[in-house]
Amino acid sequence: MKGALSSSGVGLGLGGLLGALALLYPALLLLAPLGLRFGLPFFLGLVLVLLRGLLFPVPEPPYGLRVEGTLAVREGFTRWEGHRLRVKHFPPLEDGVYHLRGYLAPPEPRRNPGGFDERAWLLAQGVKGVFHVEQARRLSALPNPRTPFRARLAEGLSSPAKEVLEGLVLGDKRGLEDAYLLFQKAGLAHLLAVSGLHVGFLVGAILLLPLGRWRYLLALALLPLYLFLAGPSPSLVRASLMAGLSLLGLFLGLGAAGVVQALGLALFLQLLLRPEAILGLGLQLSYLAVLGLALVLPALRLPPGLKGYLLGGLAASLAVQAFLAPLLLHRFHLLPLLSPLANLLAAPVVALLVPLGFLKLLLGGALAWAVEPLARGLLFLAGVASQGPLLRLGEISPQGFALYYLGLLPPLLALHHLLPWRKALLLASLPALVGLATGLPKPVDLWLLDVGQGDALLARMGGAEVLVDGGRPEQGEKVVRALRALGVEALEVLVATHPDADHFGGLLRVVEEVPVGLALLSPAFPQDHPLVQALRAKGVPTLRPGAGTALRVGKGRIQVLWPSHLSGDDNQDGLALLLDLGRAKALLLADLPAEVEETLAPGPVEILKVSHHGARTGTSEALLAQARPRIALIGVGKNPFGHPHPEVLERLQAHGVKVYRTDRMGAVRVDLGYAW
Amino acid sequence: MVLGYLLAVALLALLSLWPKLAPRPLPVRVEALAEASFTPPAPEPVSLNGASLEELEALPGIGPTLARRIVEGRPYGTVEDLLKVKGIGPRTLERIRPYVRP
Repeated sequence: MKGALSSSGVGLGLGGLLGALALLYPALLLLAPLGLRFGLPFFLGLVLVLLRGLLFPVPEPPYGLRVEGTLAVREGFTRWEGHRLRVKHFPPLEDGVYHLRGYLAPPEPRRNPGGFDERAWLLAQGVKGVFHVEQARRLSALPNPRTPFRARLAEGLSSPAKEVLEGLVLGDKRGLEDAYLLFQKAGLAHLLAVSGLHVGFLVGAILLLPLGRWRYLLALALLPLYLFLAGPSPSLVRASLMAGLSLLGLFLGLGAAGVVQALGLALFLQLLLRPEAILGLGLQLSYLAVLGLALVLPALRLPPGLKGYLLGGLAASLAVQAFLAPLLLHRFHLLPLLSPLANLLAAPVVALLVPLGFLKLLLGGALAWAVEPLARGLLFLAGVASQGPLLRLGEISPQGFALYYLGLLPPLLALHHLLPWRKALLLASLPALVGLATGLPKPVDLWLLDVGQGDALLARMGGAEVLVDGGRPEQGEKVVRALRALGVEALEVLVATHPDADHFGGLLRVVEEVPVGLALLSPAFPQDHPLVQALRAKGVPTLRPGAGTALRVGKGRIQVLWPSHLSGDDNQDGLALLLDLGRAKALLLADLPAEVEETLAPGPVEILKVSHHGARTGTSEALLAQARPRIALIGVGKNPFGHPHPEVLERLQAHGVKVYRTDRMGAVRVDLGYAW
Repeated sequence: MVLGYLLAVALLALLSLWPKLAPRPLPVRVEALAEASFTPPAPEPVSLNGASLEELEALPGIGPTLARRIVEGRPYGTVEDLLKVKGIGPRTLERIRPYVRP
């Protein structure tokens, strides 16, 4: 391991990595002295990648400019005056030449915890602009040279088998949809991103041919073909670079390159090509996985024969899991615990399917009889393994990542006999203890999530979580993902303030996915309401409280202030809640009108969830004078009603209330510290 | 080397625990995930005299029938001339005014 670490490839790779990261976070340059032990290659890598990023940055298109012209759209992207742009249109535009009219905008940053970060995703691909298309006229089709290959791949296969094969051979998971979730929960999703595993099986199959030294050259020639067919995803580029280096070495009689060496060199080359690529999840996963394999496997002494093969497979899978665990949890919030086993079972099937699929790309229907049952088998395996236990965790802080990998270091050194095991475990236990300790203080805060036009508010009350409303039905997935990202595994209390779709809609999905302790519903919900039925199906105890009900939740209290009587109007019968979070009180007003506000008498509060998305029917002068909030939260999106109304904003301003609205700011967090 | 390791762990412990334990003068702090810095440009006004039927139908409150009547009522000197089209009153005019030009 010492020898491998001092090699030039590793130095170049690490230098390039620091350079790429420093382009995003310049403060990281302070870490540069750590690279001293890698000598010249490290600093060469650092300087070259830094220069590449500083001298040739991704150009920024003129945002706000109206654009009209004839453009070729390929896989959702187009090229305009030297800028690569993402094309946004509903429904998505198929490949082709179009006459397009629209405007240029910057990509959206993340708007919710656990939400999609379009900006980072596009930047990793060297794209800084989005073309919002308002009018598109299709002029002609765009010939795709990959189409005949794809058609041959699909020939003679049933639809599910075809989709599995497209994912497995070409890394195209668009057709899979629900089945992809199964693969994810089984820990087999990595099979559907073309990477070293696939290149390995393909190259391995070719190396079995009795061609002497020339088989290396044949394999080498296949790599660009594979890149062309499957598209240059970061993991495939990485694998092709590494395999290419090794095959070239073998053909020239120099021997295969060391894996760590080749990995470092490939990373350097890929970052030199585009430093922003480091933001891509595919690249991160791909390099970490191979690093895990390269650092763990050579240190093991495995018995010969089948037993050794099985143990090796298990160890490989565990090594990859150990290196990827925090990243997978951070991004997907779940880690399949049976994944090593599932991978061991899937390996032989994939080893056959990848070379067969590749042959099928060239030959067409002739191989369907062999591919169909194998693909079905893999799908079946994913279905069974997806039922296994999952580890769930929210997003992980940068310190958390650093602690995890610090904890991984001593056992790794012990594996290579550089440290006695007892000392290693002692050292590794320290970061683990710190990690546990940082999890002890429970956050106390309010999150007003961005669910477009609608309300969804999560209150974390020191170890117990309360969700008040969930936006429209199609926003449910967003709310669930936010809960997962914030590490909310179960809701103590779920509140549906009134039966309007922009308040209860998303809760249907939440009830399905997240365990709930108690549901508080407005008395306006009828017995046969879908939400009531969903709660009943899950066996959640339900309460329809009126004014005067109070609950103790976590370190705080929930008080119900309204309704005191029923009027028959949905908005007027909504629940008004007063949350006491210890350090501050929050008044949540659902869609209540001013007449109700005036009767509430909540006393002074710090935080006000403004009634009815800022409609002029609420947030009366009387309420503001009584409650004297300092912070106003408005859950609002693009809407035809003119919410929030200028009069409401003026009233709030006149009272010196600071307004936070989700349409301008994305999700808003009111941080009230931590509770033990 | 072990010393460096221990230092690194201690530093990370401080970094991750301090924000949770530090006494805070302000009880309430608000942070937003995404601050808006971009507002889409106003849509380009459609020419009342030159626009196609499709473009007119895309205007708020204008259906196929009104679009056809607008085309039949050409030419227009000012946007207010739209009032002479049967079915377009002052309210509709105000709604589509930002999106049209003569």
